[in-house]
Amino acid sequence: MRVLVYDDGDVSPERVAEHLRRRGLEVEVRGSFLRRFGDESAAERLAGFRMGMPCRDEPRKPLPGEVEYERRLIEGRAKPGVVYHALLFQSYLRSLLPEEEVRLDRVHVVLTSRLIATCDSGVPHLRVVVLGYPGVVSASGAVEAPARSREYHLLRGIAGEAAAELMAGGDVLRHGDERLPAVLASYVMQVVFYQAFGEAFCTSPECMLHDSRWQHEVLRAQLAQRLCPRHERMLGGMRGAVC
Amino acid sequence: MLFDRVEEKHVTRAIVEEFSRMLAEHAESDVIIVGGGPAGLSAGKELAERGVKALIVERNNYLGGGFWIGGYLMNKITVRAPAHKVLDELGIPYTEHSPGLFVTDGPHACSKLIASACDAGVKILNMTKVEDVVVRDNRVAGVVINWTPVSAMPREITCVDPVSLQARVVIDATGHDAEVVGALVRRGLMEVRGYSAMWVERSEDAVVEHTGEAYPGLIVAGMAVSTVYGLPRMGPTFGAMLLSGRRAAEAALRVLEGREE
Repeated sequence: MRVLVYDDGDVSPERVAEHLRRRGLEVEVRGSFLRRFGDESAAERLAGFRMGMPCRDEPRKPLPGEVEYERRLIEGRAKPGVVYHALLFQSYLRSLLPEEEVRLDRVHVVLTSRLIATCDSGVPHLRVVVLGYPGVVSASGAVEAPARSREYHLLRGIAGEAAAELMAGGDVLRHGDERLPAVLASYVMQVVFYQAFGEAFCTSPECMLHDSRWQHEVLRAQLAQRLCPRHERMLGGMRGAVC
Repeated sequence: MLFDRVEEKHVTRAIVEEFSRMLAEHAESDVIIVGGGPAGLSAGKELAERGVKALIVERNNYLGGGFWIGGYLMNKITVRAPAHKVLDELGIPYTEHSPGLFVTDGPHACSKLIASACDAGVKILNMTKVEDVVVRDNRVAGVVINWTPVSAMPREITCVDPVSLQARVVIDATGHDAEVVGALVRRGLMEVRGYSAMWVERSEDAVVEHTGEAYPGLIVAGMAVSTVYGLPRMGPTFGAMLLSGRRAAEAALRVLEGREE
């Protein structure tokens, strides 16, 4: 099984790949997904996936300024700053994959700096990973989606965001955090397990496949990059069988 | 006697003639900036420094918008890096409160910003409200204005027709109200987004990134950008307003020079 890693924004794909190779996976870094497979309509399509409030599970007609922003984002001339519908985004990426690339022994994973969310009764829920083909892993999602501690929110309410951030120190991930590549590698591993076994998550809080809901869980499970014994054996079997 | 002898009629003539001359000269401008808050003032300063004939239309008597006061009526203004470089350029003193977060006195910062725009040559039409836009060949080509007090009075006792000003570019820097954009929305020429999902960390970046031409001839700047594109609100930090104003000026220059981005 070959893991094909693409980037969509500033996400350090080589460093993520290094972490995965250390786990014995065969990884190829392929550069920007959208510049490789995207077409003229990419900016307009992506602009249509922006999520409003209340959110909806269908694309919307984008404004010209939104399309222009997407164009600059694809060209690397802008920073991401809005939230996209995760499933519409993934579905669009899938539609761009050429037929010859769609193979069971290839795991396509797009590392994106976009913030992605699913829509639940009109309310967006931020996501780190969208399992499927291709898998989508959001670097900004790893920072924003897993909840910060109750103490953080309490302090934020009393003393403001700056004070809460200061007190949180290294207990939370931040944009551009040195630890992000390791964390993202764990989420890529979830995509790999999902494609190989249909099983992405683990109940063990020590396993990198743990479905972390809190920042401290991410730092415990995804940053440490350990697999539980069962998933370690499954990974070994996968390497022995296919790689 | 300390002062020269001047009769009342001379004072009146001086006011009327000077104002009339300024208004007549700016019946046609290169750029009309609607809203004299930090974004509008920054845009005006940048444009006027480059020799662009720029006019700021402000509905209040005072300029500066919310830049006089930070959050909760406390007159400390915060900006995040790299916007503190603008404070450096304007000669506004500040302190670094925490890494990347700078604090300055609102009155000092606001008065310096206003002065810098005026020094650069931008003209001001205050106590003036934009009621509508001039549209020619599917482009915004000016604004329809009236005195602010007129719009504040009941229509039954005021029937004062407005006048129009023409410009090659109009910048909407009216804050969350996005009044110029609103005129296009009322005509069905444009739509704006509602609220978007929150991303506090990037809200300032998003406002700057989305600053630009939202309709042919109309550039949005400052918090009007947030209204048009449904960007998350950012709280009482002003760096994005200053940088958005600058980006709006760059966008206006591109339009004036016939350059595409």
